[in-house]
Amino acid sequence: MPAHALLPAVNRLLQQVEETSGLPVAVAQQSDLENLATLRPATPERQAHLIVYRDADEASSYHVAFEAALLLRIVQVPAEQRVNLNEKREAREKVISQVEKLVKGSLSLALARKAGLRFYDGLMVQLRSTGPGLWADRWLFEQVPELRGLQAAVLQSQVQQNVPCLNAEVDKMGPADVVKASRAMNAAYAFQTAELVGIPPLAIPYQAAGFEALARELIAITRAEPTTADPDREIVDGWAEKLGLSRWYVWKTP
Amino acid sequence: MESTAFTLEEATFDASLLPEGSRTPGTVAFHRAVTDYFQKSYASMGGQLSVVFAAGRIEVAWEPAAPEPAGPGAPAMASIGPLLQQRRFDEARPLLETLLQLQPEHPEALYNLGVLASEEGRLEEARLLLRRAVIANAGDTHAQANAEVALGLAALRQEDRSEARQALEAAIELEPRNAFAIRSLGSLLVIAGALAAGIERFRQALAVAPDDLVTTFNLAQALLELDHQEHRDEADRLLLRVIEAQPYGELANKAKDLRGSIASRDLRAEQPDGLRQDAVSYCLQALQLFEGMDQQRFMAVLSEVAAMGQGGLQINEPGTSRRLKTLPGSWSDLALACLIHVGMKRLTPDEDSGLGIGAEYEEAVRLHGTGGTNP
Repeated sequence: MPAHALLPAVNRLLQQVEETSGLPVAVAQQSDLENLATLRPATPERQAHLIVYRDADEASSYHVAFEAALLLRIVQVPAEQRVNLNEKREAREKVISQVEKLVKGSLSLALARKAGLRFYDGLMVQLRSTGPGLWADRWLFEQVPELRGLQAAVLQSQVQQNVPCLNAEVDKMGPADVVKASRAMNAAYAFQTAELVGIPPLAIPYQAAGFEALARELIAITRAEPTTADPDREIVDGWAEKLGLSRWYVWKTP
Repeated sequence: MESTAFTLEEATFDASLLPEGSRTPGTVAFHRAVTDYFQKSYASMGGQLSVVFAAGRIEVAWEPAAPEPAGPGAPAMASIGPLLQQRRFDEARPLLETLLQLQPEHPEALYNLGVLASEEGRLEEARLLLRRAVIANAGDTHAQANAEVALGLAALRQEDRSEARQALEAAIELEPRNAFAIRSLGSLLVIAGALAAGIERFRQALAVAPDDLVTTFNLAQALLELDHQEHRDEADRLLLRVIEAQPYGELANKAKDLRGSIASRDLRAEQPDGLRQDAVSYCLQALQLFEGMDQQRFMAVLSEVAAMGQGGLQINEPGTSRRLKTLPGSWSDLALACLIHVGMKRLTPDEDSGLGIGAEYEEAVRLHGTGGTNP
């Protein structure tokens, strides 16, 4: 059978990343990957960027393009200014303690702590990735129109997978501020997708749940002209401020 | 849009979306206004909407319009086609099977079920379905050729070369410019050991579809197998074309590996009876270089060189000269190959880099151990 190939538009994008960063980009498929795709920018020890995707299907072209778009932004941040989002102990412990209270009597303390940690970590990953991800989706929509068909399928599928986060059961399991922030980020994703693919009903669940205004504010942050050399950090900080998460994390040099 | 379902607490519904006078959760007016809101919101999508109020919650479910009942066949295929394109085979299969029950010789159902069975390794079943598909598609040359190709591939997978060849030749007779059929026949001939005939078919396929990289790769591979020395240059050019056109992914990796093996063979061809002293010298240089290097810098150098090497190295081209970010000076491809080999040996002493410079490396290690200098 013919080997699975990335679409030519994606190869062009990868070449653009290589030219901009001056380092090679390796792309690999890994069937047991937890996420659809992931990005490992080059380090002083590994002088090549790595994009790994999970499924050997047509949609993987979009996932690779998405990671490449994010990478293109990352490599343009001067090396000495690059920072990683790190946890803040007090915030993490607060979430854990809230979850312990919520599940008291139904889960052991050890399991409750683990669950709390998952809520905190999950929210930080969502905060770090969703805003820049929205930027990348829109950038690809504008700059690589050849991918629009695939993009529509991938984004719609993701919106549909997120919808259950609105279900009332979720409120019983997680701290209110974590759940609300997470829903707001999903709402931003849904509203932007609805706009890009031209299907307004995709965002209806979030509109009904009262997230439209906040979602539109979050989207506006991703579209603002950057004022620093690290636009992703600006987006994350802007979102954190709107979501009440500014004191939940710190930026540290790698 | 796919079907969707979600639940909201009545109390969390955004009341500002509702007319005044109907914003109190739990009231009949609220329920009516919420239902009205969702009906208007999903109206543009058609389909079926259900809004249920229970225990203070709003349960919303929307489903797209049901597919047309399978009757004439074509409308049914219109809804199955997208599922197949999206590789949602588990959803497509029962629909195809139903269609086939209603119309036992439905050409597209036979073809698609046959292809699915083939992909899933149910080869006997696949061949039965595809033989029927060939007959059912008579009158549509393109569809019949596709069925013949699929039958040929299923037979090939079951190692029935006779039926595979017959089916692929029939496909080409129906559609002389069907590049996929021609390429598949080429592969079959190569597997059967008829290398020259297979190469001829690959060339024919490339004449029809010059940008087909799989055929380009297959041709290079077959040329090397037929006569490495005679076809080395052409094969190398073909492989380079594959890498340049599609630098990432499985096919590119295969092409890079094959170029690596060409380079390795070139190395031995240059010095068939002894050691290549230039390679010994480069290996010794690499051993000395890495010896005084801390692990972090060593990894940085090795990853850069390895990434460069992935593009294929021309180790017998004296003119090659490349620059590295992590090391000063300019480097020939042979010197880079030696850096890779020595670096790989430092990381995993029991593994071979596959570059064919093991003997030169051993000699360099011996010289290095005795405090020797470059030969």
